[in-house]
Amino acid sequence: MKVLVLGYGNPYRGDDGVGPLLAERIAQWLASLGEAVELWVGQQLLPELAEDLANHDVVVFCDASAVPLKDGFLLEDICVSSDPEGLTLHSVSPQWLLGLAQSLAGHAPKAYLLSVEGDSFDFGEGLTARCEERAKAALQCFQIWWKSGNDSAVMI
Amino acid sequence: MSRKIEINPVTRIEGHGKITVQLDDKGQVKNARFHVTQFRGFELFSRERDFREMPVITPRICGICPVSHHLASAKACDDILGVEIPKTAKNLRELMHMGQVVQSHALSFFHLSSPDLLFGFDADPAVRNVAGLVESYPELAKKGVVLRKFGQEIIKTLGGKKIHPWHSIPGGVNRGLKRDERDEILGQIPQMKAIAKEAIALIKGYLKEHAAEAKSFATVSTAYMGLVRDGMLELYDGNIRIRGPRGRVIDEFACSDYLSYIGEHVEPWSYLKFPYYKPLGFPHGSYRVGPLGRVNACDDISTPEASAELSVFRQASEDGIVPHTLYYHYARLIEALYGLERIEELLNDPDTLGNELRVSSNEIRPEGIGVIEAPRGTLIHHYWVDEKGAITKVNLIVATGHNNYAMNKGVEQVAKEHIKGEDVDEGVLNRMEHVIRCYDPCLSCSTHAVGKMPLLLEVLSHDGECLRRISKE
Repeated sequence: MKVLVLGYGNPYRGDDGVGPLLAERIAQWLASLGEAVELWVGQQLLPELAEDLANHDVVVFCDASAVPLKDGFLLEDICVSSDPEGLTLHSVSPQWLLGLAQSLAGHAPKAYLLSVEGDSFDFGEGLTARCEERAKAALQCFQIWWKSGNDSAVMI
Repeated sequence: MSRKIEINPVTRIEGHGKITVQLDDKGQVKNARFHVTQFRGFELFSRERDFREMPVITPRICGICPVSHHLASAKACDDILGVEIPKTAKNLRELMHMGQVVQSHALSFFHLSSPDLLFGFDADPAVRNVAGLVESYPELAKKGVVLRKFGQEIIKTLGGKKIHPWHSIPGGVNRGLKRDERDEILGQIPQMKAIAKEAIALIKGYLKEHAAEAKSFATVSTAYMGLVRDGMLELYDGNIRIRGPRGRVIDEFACSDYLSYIGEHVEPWSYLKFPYYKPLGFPHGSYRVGPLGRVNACDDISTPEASAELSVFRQASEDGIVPHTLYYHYARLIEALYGLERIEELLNDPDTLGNELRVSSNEIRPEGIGVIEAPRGTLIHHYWVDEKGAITKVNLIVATGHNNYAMNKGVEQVAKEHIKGEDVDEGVLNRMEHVIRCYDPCLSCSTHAVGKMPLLLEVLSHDGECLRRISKE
């Protein structure tokens, strides 16, 4: 099984950098289990990633959330969507990217989104203490879920 | 009773953009404004840092055109060091820049704009998107991805990664190009040119079929600005030229003198400033940048195939200066073809494989200016430093700002043509969106997690009552 972990956000904007940081931790952990894992980190998702998605069986997106989350983080299944996210489409959602993979390659992998609530998106490097704690909890949750072998993140 | 219509396109961008249409008592459009909250925090963030860090820091301003900021920043640093970089380094920087131009223009046309053009502004939004494009025009959609990937691979080859590459350093570049890498890129040029030409044929067909709308849609009268070298289109390095709306070259000046010629007008209703050509004042000195601005500003294009296409392009108006906003797409694709031709020229230049990659200098001048033609228009980085090289002040002027006046006027023109009272259908919203898409602005996407909201159009009475709402959720 080929796994792709994508972390996106701007590490110069405080907690916006939690996506790349968490993705690196998850990818390292999956590699330690012997999984065939690839890591991609960037400031934002872009259309050409659709091809990479289509070449994997499982994809895990890691992102910061400006919206409060019940436990400070959320692991969820995500599905294909064709709705663009913005006016100029300069940034795209994981769902839209899955839709593009489906359309272009005829295959969209099983996909999950792990969001971590951020407190500060101001200029500066490093996470706030609370976001760092949430990132650790999110990683722990992901590890428990992955070991459970459940296909759906809703089961945790 | 006056009424207000709001289109609120708030996406994963810093702050938000909003279109407000103000109606008069008779339900006619009085004015329309495109507001952008542009956060200039990077200018503060950079203070007290060593100027040599700037080519690494500034690409974080934008996830969609980091190469442009990277290169403009490196050029400003060269200026602080007082150095002229080696020919090999210059070629490699331009090569990376052309990769950026090709991939960015491919994204703009194939992914952002072609669904509107192929399906029409009044088509169902469920179809008028990339998924609909893939379903109805699968080969075209795939070619768009291929062309974009080609540009990205050039960036990756030189910079090590596609997003936020690290290649240019003050005084040059940190990596050369290998012969096998050059051959790999060169081998793909014919296929990429064929894709660009196919896209050009598509947009020409569209503009011919919709000739009336193409000439009236959001057309505004402005001057045009872009870099030129000996009058030719230039994207990496040259003088800044201003050409008037009737075709006369108004001025041409060195990039280092930009503060003497470019002013920034402020309106209380927008955080985004309105740059203008100082000698003519605001708004008469307003100009457009980006593909349409550049191909109007230059005399010709130095590469043969793009030059031939420019000649055809200029037949769209009697005097050869094309003011029509929908022609931005055509100009963009001509530039993509130019970018591919320049890549070919650079790769065939023996200097590109050279080993002299950088020069060093112990000099630290008090300020440095770097100007480059980013895909969306003229990008200016200006740094002031102390005697140790610590940044004391930064001024950045980005393409979205230059086009601010034209985007506002274009939105207003479409509103006046299509909005009569409260009767606003989704096609109007789509047309207004498309005005913005023609300019392909970067709305300061320095963070992505803030401000996720749907596109929204609201018709409000003067006292705030919502009379009509169109949401794209």
